[in-house]
Amino acid sequence: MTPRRPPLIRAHALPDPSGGPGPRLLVRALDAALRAAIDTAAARAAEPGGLRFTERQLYFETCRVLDPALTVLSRVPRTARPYLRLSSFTRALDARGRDTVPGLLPSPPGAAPAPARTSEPDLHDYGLPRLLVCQDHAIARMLLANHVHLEAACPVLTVADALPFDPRLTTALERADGATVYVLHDASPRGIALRGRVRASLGPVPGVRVSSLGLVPRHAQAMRLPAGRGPVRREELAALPGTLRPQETAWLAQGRFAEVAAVPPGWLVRGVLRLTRGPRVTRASVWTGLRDLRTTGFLSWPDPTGRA
Amino acid sequence: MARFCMSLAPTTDGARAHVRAMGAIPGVGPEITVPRADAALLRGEPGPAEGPFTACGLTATGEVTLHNAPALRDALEQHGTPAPARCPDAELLLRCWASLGAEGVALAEGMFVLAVLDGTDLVLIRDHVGARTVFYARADGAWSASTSLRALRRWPALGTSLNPAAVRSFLTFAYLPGEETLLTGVREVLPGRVLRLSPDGSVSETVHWEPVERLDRDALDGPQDHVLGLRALLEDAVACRLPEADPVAVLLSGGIDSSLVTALAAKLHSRPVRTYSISFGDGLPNELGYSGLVAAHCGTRHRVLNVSGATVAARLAEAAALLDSPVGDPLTVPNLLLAEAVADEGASVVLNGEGGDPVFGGPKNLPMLVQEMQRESGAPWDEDRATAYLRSYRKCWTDLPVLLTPQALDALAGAPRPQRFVEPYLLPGPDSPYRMSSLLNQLLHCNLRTKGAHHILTKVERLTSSQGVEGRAPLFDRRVVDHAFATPPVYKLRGTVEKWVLKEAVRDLLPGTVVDRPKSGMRVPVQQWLTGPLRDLGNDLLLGRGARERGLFRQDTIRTWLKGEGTLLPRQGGKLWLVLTLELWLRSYDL
Repeated sequence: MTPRRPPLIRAHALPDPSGGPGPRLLVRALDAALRAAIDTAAARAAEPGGLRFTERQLYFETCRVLDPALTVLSRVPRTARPYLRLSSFTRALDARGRDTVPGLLPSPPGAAPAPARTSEPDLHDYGLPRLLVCQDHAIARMLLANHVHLEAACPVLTVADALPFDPRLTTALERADGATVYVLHDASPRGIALRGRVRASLGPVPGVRVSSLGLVPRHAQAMRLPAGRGPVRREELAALPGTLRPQETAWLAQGRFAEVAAVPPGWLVRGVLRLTRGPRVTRASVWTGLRDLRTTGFLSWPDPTGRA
Repeated sequence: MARFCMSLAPTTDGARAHVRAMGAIPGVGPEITVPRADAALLRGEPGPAEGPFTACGLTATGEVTLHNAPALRDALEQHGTPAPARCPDAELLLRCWASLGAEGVALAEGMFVLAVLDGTDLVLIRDHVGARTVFYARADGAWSASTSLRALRRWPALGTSLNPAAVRSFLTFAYLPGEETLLTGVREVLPGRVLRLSPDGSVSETVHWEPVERLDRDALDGPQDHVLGLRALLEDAVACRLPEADPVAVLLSGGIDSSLVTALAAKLHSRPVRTYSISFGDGLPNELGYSGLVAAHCGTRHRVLNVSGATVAARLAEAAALLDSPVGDPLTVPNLLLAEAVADEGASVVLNGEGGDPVFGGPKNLPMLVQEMQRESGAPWDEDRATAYLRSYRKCWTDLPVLLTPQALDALAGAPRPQRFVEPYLLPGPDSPYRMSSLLNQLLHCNLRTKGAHHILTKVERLTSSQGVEGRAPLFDRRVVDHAFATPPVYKLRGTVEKWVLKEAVRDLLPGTVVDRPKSGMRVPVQQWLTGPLRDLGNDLLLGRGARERGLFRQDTIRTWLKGEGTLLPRQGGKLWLVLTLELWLRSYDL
């Protein structure tokens, strides 16, 4: 079923501003409408509770404001190309003034982050039950700006900062005896491969699990996220895990991708908190059973307390 | 049963008038003959006050329970000023002050506040951890002190009103974390302090005890000595708090702290040990399985108290009115009902497991450790440690701009920041007497001096006193606290196991299921109460005329929260609980 679109501003088809008086009036009207849409999007992105958000999140929220069909009109899982050109959005945002948008985070600095100022010697002396690694630098900063790290007691790092892992962090993870490293990634071949990269970089740290917290195509479709399209790399497609459904692999093979930034900020923060805060549930499987057998001597009985 | 009040004024008649204005009845109780001063008991207010009495030439009144009276007698004997045999605890403490000064007070182990007319000054003494509370104020050239905030509220010369800075503190912490009260001009003596109030209005403070970190980080020895040392101290701390010839009650939640106190009481007491737990009703989460297991293991006589939402609704106003400063935790009514049950069954002393978390490293330390790992100068999320600590409380700190009315926010514009209560511990300067080297110990120190002294112990004291029962907290024992700050932090939070050294110290006394269970906390069905039995009361109180006219809270925000909206995470219930508690307290104080 194809959802019906309401009559909307085709912002990417804006006429040339240097045209005659008629087109100029139209341009002004469209610009004003786009600015109003940005204002509405900023208010929505900050809800509930005054969340902070990135420019890219604001762009996707503006897309949703301009095209309610993305979220409202249909429950059929699908993705659609963003209805608003990024360049049009950026121009309108510049005209409106970035600094005056409540909740909009400033662009990340180009230079390396300033070092931590903590002087206490015991910061890494304890166990760390969880760690979040984000593919997108801006998303990591957004989660930090919304104090997800404090709420979930979970450091939030970007791939670029996290890999290779600081030995103090890996030791702290190991000390927790059952820690999880969560990987928040886009629904793209590179994003989906990130979990494997993190696992490989972490090395054989006993008891530490690496878990994907990111998007796969079916999530993007279920949430009706705006999706982009780009070049396809054969080697990246070949490395996709077998856990993806054939339709998902086909979707990725068409060069499609969906970004975490396209998830509404409130959903994203809530989802990350819900998934990272809870205690890790140990699930028995054939493999864990085999591992247990490996540590149990032949003809010996397992300890009934489960400590063996 | 009484609280006390005392006044130091330019004239004796003035002092008498002030004391009477605070509620003392003329001709009841002993009169004092100290010029320009007066003191009296406030009959009818629940409390263990005694006096006024005179010893060593000093007149005093106080609320004093000492747990190490023999040691104090020995100290006085060695000093050459022996105390009379069988003198009351308050007199013994006064003699320690008179003979040994602040050092003598520091030797005392117990729950006490003492007001002493010392020369021309009024001296106020509060115990190490803050088990008992005393307030003071100055008006009309006079000092007045009382263990009842209501008494100072009645003092016409003071003319108190609502202190907006304290409103902000309460909404941030869910209690008042320092010396301020909700009444303008009234302050609380901080724990471990001796305050000298002079007739000219000057105040000088002496610290008789403050936790000090005693660690040698380069020589990390094994945990065995710390575990065994703690076990011995725990046994002493429980033993000295047991009533000599009476049964003892223990509030048993089923967590490690109250369970270890139960086990030690059962082991050390020669009289019956009774344990009490709470159920909020069938179908709601509880820890009765664990508390039942401990009670059976220790052989106590166990009783489960059913606390329904309707009962909470019916008793909430009474519980709020019993507190000198409001406490926004939803356990005040259950605590009151437990105290009633204990009193009904004839016990006069009830032990509890309060103190395990602030002293030995319970939950909520890890978020602050992570916060420090993520520090980045100039980043949008970067904030100082004290501010992050307020955020980690998860109360209404971040909601203040939408919760308070513009008038209330204006009134706060020049008010001191609530960070000031935690900065001395979390951001100490290089020469600060509060400085501790490890971050975990800084957090524990802060918790002990804020939540321990101004929430946990205060709440216990006021609610148990209201029933004529004495609540005692062995884990707040000063020697136990000293030991905790001499234990390497990695033995308190070991990996992710909280209170590790405490658990190891009592492992042999309790079932492994209890020792090794993860911390869960008592899950109180606040949200169910607010949408059930407390719904009408909450709506009427928070949206009614009285609250509107006071002009503190924005009605639209309260309505949004009452509908379960307006916050990212479902915490509206806890936030509303704070507002409701404050509203009830303000009504009970006619503010």
